[in-house]
Amino acid sequence: MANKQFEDKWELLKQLGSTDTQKDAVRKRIQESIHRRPSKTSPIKFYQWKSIIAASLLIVIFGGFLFMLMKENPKQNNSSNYTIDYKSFSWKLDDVTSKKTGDYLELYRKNDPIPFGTVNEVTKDEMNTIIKSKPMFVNKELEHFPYKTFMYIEHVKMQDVGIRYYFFIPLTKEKWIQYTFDYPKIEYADIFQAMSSLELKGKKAYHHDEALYVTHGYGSMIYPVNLEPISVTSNKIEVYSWSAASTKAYDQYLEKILHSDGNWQKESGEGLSNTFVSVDGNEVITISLNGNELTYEYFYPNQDE
Amino acid sequence: MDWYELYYDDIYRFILYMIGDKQCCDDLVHDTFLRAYSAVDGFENRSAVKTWLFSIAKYLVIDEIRKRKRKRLFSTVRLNQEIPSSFNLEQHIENKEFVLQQLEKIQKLKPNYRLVITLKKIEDCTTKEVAEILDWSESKVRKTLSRALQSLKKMNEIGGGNHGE
Repeated sequence: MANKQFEDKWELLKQLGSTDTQKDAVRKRIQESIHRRPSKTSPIKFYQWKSIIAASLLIVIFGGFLFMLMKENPKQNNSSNYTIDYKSFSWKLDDVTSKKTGDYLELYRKNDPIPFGTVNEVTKDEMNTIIKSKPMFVNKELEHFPYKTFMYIEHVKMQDVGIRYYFFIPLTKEKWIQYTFDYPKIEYADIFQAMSSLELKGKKAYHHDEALYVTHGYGSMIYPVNLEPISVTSNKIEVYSWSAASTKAYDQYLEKILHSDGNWQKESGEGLSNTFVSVDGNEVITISLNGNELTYEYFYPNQDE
Repeated sequence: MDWYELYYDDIYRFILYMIGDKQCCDDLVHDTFLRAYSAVDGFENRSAVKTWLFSIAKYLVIDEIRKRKRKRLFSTVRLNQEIPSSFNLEQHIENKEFVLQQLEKIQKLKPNYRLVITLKKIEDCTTKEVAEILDWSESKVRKTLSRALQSLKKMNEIGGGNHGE
């Protein structure tokens, strides 16, 4: 009898499934993804090469004319006529190179051929289309950043990109500059380090005179914006270099955690190592400062791990 | 898309019991089949298609669980809020409350326990198939399943589940 009950239980669990609508939607997505993939099998025939060469020659010729015209009539890099290139902005994020691809500037880590983000100019309509057409899970205006900055987070779930951050900064009433960053190609801390230290050429930046903290989009724990990842490979420990580290800065940071929306309570600790627990009790974080190294240890008491 | 029609339900249910999140489940089902179609040339028929698809899905869910743990995206409370509207439980599921409880409890098991319970007890894979999917020995599958069932039983006892094992 007990055995029968046991087996019946599993039969009940087998009932869970999706709806036909869900199944159709995923099928459609797969088909679209397959169509979007670059073809690896069809060789490029000679006549195709000819048209590519002809097109390249035309681009070189017209590009040359354009270059000469621009040289004779230099344009100011001001906000009403902004040109996105590697000289149009700077930030405190090291080892970044860029490559112009169409209207986009692709961002690369040195020695890494895969881009981790993009920069481009968009109109207000284009921005709204992007926001509406993507599955955005977070929408937030970042306070006290160098420029008025709106952040959106898209769940991408591609093979090498989990989530994509979008930052929109208004240049004029109609024109915006868009930055995107792909996690985990770039760490959270690096993304916020970049955006919080951004300087756009020809557009005055605001410098907040107090320490700046952000959540990393998800969760309620706040982090200083000026962290540089040292080791975030472990599941439970993350170590950062904190450029503003000092005992005073650490104490101020802890105060800020306790007073930011009441999401965290201090559980234990003193001096330079302190443990906080989330109000729902599901997350415990110990934050320790050693020199300029800030270490976070995460523990999830309600998960059987 | 023959594989999709044949194995969608199995892969969907497996990922759902591993992750417990509808949106993410759709994404990972998409990724599983896309990877399979991308790698079809390298598929040598050494295993059954279903086993191969489960292996791909397993890799993706384990990767997702690691990302969530590390990046604090996980929220156990979301489960109860999302499930009812997502699965039309009123219409299709017998003993809804119990099924939801068990789904939530399985989420709290270690990933290895979740894998082996889902594959063996819900997906009805043989021990040999589970061993192949997880790249374990059959003996490890049996031992881990036994521990996983004990762990789930303990949770049910603590939680007062009346569909005891």
